[in-house]
Amino acid sequence: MENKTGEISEQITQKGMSRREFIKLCGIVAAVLGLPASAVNTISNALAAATRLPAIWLEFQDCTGDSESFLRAYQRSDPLQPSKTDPGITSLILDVLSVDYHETLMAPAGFMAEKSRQDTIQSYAGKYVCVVEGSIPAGNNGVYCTIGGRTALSILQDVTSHAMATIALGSCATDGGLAGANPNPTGAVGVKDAIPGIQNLINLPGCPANVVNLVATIVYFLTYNQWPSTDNLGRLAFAYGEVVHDQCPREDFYEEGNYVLEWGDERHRQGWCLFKMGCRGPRTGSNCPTVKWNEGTCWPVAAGHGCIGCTEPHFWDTMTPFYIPLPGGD
Amino acid sequence: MPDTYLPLVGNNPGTPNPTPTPTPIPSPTPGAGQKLVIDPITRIEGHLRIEVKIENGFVTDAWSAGTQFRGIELILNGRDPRDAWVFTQRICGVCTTVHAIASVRAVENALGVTVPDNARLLRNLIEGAQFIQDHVIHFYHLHALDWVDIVSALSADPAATSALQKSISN
Repeated sequence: MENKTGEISEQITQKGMSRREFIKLCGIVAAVLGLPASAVNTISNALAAATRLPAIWLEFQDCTGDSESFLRAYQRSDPLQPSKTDPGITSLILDVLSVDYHETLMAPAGFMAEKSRQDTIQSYAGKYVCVVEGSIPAGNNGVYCTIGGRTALSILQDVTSHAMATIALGSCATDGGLAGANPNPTGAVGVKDAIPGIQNLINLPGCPANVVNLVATIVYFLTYNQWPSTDNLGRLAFAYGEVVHDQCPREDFYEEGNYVLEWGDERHRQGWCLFKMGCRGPRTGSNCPTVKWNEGTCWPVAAGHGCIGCTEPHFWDTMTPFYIPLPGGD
Repeated sequence: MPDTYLPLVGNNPGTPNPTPTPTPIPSPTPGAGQKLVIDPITRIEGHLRIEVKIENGFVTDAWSAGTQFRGIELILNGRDPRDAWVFTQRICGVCTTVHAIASVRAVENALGVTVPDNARLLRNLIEGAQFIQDHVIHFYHLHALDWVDIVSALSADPAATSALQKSISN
């Protein structure tokens, strides 16, 4: 099961990607991370020599939405000029991450599934990443989510205690998310509250989290052997440090006071500002407007719906009702 | 874990089984009752546990249990009905759209709203797109591994596969 040095560059070469295209991809990762152009060489050299990071992907009170985001790991660096050998930044995900346990994607079930998780813990103790999707129910001694007869919390403690880092992927794993919304019937919490004082925890909230940010995080670690810096909410600064509204292509309409006032009205058709329809962009930190979704082609505001603020703490309670405008918008 | 389960699948002793006699399941202790537990059932959304009772090599009873509960119904209680679809969509991140549209329809029914033709057509297009993507995801990412032995796929004969395919379709 040992991963070998140079494995990543071997994988990339096998895909038929040229050196030039690989450098281009590294440039895109650097841009997402907000690093200067000089970092591109550092990243490409590091990736060429690195081995894939083993990962144990745990799912608890989840909807598999973050896994679906992960499966959408296919984004052309230039959507308008697709080429067979330019699969884009997120195609790197399976080159940088070796997902050894993932309930929704793995072949084995039952005892064999449990065994593969324990095997990974043993083989890579202190060297693997634990990715957590979904919240952890603390209520009623954890009966609201069990796997193989064990509670979510017990499995989480087991896997994180031997992991070199834990990535809370999506809002549920970050702060309890949907299950944790008022009145939180199951006592759902995120990783940081399930295991107080947990070391090397990286929060990638969002409903779902964007796989682009996961790739960039892993690449950053493989390059610099440390995790990217976080903002005051413990989220990665490169992905959540800027307010959606400030990066929004519709911001000019806001400045000019040109608002959509009704779904489907002429202003909506013209792509005016969605502030008065309840957009949470001014209160939300995320790189959605630049990184986007669906192979980098679109994001909610571009599709004509306001931002719902899904990267912010407890957004199911703090950002709702979604269609009531923020103060100043009514 | 609670020690009782809701029996979702059970043999009714009064009803003869119309299917052909199945092959007995090999049991290490023939004649004795045996319980088989599969938990987790992988490659589904959510968490599932299956328990099967085997007697004399035959399945005599089975229980399934969803082992995750979030209480989305309780969380929706008292909220703005216009928000409901965003919540219910998170019932499942694989088939999000159908839950959203079902929720929107429920709210519209309650309010007596009839949507314009354009909205109906748009929703049908969105549901159609979801239908296609869900089938692709379900087959290739989730279900296929039940039918495909990946290891033996390495020694597969593409020519024979192609010939088989041509023999059963035009």
